[in-house]
Amino acid sequence: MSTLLKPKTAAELRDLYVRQEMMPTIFCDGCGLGNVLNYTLWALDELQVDLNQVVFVSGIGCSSRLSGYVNSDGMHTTHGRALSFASGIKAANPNLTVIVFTGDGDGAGIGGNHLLHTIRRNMDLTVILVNNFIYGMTGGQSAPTTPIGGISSTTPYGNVEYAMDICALAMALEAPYVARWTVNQPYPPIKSIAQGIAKRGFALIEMLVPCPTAYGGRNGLKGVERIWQWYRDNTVLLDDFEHIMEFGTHEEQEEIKHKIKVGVLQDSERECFDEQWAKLVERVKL
Amino acid sequence: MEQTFTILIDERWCKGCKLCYIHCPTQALRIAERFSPRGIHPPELALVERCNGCRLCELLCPDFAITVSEEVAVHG
Ligand SMILES: Cc1ncc(C[n+]2csc(CCOP(=O)(O)OP(=O)(O)O)c2C)c(N)n1
Ligand code: SF4
Ligand code: SF4
Ligand code: SF4
Ligand SMILES: [Mg+2]
Repeated sequence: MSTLLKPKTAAELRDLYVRQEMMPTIFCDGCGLGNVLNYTLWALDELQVDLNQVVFVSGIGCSSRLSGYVNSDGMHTTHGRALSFASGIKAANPNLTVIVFTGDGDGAGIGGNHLLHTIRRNMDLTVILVNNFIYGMTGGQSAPTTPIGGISSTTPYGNVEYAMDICALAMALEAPYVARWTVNQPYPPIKSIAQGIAKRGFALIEMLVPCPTAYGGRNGLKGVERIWQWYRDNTVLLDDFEHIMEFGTHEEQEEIKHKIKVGVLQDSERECFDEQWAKLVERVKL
Repeated sequence: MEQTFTILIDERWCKGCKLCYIHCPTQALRIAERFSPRGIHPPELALVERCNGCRLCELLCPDFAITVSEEVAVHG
């Protein structure tokens, strides 16, 4: 059954792509951030991209530490500003593959305005935004993604603000590629990250990642098993959602109505910033 | 003969989070009673005949600490 063993082994992958001296990661037991790193590296390997032509950029947060583990050029920048640095890198050398790791606090909170305008510009970046419903690194303050009722250190009696749907924002701004996944199943996000990297223009991949330390414990999800199970119980594949909404019984529809949809949510074509820019240069040059 | 698999745990990196053990679809793994040098209980392959080589444990390990490989037959 050689097909079962097709992707590189974890040992081969880490030897090729990971800074050995940085391992193991600083992430807590049961944190899903390591999975985001693995899946991204498996996706890169699938595409056979030359690591010398890849730059990883991140902001600040547990999720933003991911760039530091990859044995490529990279920048660990300031909180919320990863996309500005990434845009600069891409504008200076459009041949580079630029991948951004960011968090819900980093990318949608303090960096929310940068997210908006980087998508609007359609910079050719792949942004892997980790949504763990919380500011993990600083001890669990509420994020723009914390669900209504969610307990955090800044909402000890329950959050009263609506959570932001980051993918819906990206879709409204017509990002060419938008997807959302859990880390529970490896193959769909690996395939999707590869699609995002290959995509011309802005690709947003929102990864729903369990944070047992700063979110789970306070919200009735103590222990690795329970918080990982929550993501199985509270998400639904987009295809299944659409099928049930069209053909399912009333009970089936009620059951999935409020679940978080995962899958490829948008996949289209749109000229990206460097193509527009190249055309402009061609048009106005003397 | 049925194909068998071995599980290699890199004990430098395994944090003992049990994600591999929790997710193994055939319940082939168990958590060892002994301590690894990092002071945690590492997973180990308890039931070789159950492991189907699906590699889910390897793909899901957040710390690249598991590698599944095909058992090479000693006698050709
Ligand atoms: C300008 C600035 N403000 C605040 C901070 C403190 N800070 C560090 S990480 C962080 C939140 C990160 O949250 P998120 O992006 O969700 O990352 P996570 O740790 O949850 O992965 C904050 C507020 C900072 N480093 N810089
Ligand atoms: S605080 Fe949360 S996000 Fe940060 S490493 Fe721990 S589990 Fe992961
Ligand atoms: S998933 Fe990895 S780190 Fe966690 S117990 Fe298994 S081998 Fe160890
Ligand atoms: S390869 Fe599959 S069956 Fe074997 S131990 Fe890992 S998860 Fe279980
Ligand atoms: Mg966060």
